Amino acid sequence: MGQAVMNRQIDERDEWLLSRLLDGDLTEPEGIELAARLEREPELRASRDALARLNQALVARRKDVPNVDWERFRSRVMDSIETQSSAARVIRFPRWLRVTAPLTAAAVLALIILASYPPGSVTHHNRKPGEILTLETPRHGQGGVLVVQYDRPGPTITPPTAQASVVQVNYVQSAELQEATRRIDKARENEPSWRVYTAHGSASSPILADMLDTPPL
Amino acid sequence: MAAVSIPMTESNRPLFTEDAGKRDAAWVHAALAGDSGAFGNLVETYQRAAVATSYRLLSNSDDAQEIAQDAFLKAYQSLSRLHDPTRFGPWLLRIVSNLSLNARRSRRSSQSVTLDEEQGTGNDSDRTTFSVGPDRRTEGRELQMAIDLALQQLPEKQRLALLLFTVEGWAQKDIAEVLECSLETVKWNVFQGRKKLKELLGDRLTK
Repeated sequence: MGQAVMNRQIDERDEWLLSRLLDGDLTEPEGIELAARLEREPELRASRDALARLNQALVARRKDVPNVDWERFRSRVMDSIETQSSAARVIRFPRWLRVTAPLTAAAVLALIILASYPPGSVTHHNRKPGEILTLETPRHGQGGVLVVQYDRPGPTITPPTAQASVVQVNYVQSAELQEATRRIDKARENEPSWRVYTAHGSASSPILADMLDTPPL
Repeated sequence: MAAVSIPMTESNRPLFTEDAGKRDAAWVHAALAGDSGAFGNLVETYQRAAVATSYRLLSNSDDAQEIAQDAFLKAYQSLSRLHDPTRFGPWLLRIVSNLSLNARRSRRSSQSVTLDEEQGTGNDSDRTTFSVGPDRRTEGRELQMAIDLALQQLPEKQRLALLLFTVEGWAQKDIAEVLECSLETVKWNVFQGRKKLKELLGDRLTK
């Protein structure tokens, strides 16, 4: 005699059991109970079959894979990383250092020139100190160009010779830099051997060697 | 109607094994020390999973490759912030998932799709079509197109869990790690995703 057929509404618990059946997650008692119900409940069987068909359709999508040249993809990724790394290796100076870098470069140049003369020769010359050739008045918050000619005695004292050089300094005007310059000038005004002049032009002391210590702007 | 046999699902192969974690950690450390070849090994190991994950969410090969590439770049930039280098794989695929979902959200902001629209009962002005890959002919093009549209209507976590588990064949434990949730939550999301798809597809699954 055939089993009695039950038509029972599928509820969420039933769906949950079927989903776990699909994944092999049922406990043994749950599996036995569900198997018995599937035998006698056509609605439950229909729901199981629909779930299985859905699962098969989803699994069939595994064949749908993007067509990718993996070696090329890997190269592209590594190239983008290399490009990004190269950009990161560009040194980012702090703002104050970016501003003073040209001054520092000029200072280094001037000091190299000064240092190339015999010790003591500078202190014995009596030539007129150098002069500012160009001083571009800074606009507020920006800066300008300072071109300074400095002269020094030549390597021989007799006959007296002089060499002149020009340093061009791009600078940014700021209250801090001005104050630092003023202080350095004040401290160095009695040191006649220095012949590179500040933007003020009136002081007879140098600032360039101190540019390395210029405070942040 | 012929009965459809239940394909008792084989256990999906774990992606993030302990051995794989140790191997990845060694490559991460080497990459941090400046060995770009080590990062290249990580790319080679995970590029298929990365592109596939994005592809399942975006259904577009070019977009998926672009997202995967961005994810590798982000991973490289943030490598020093990865607390546990043995978990590089899940971490990378989490980045892929997030980027893909972001791309999808921005795409959807100007589109909305429903099954009714696809069936011709919706407003034509809102209708959007989705491309179906040429390899999706095996299970019936019509059903696959309907599944495409139904998937768009699932909540993100349900769709992702279902696709990674059923289509990509990931272990649920791996999915839990990528989605940063419990194993039970993954199971629940897979179940809810299936249930909603069944409701949306209706009679199409009984033909």
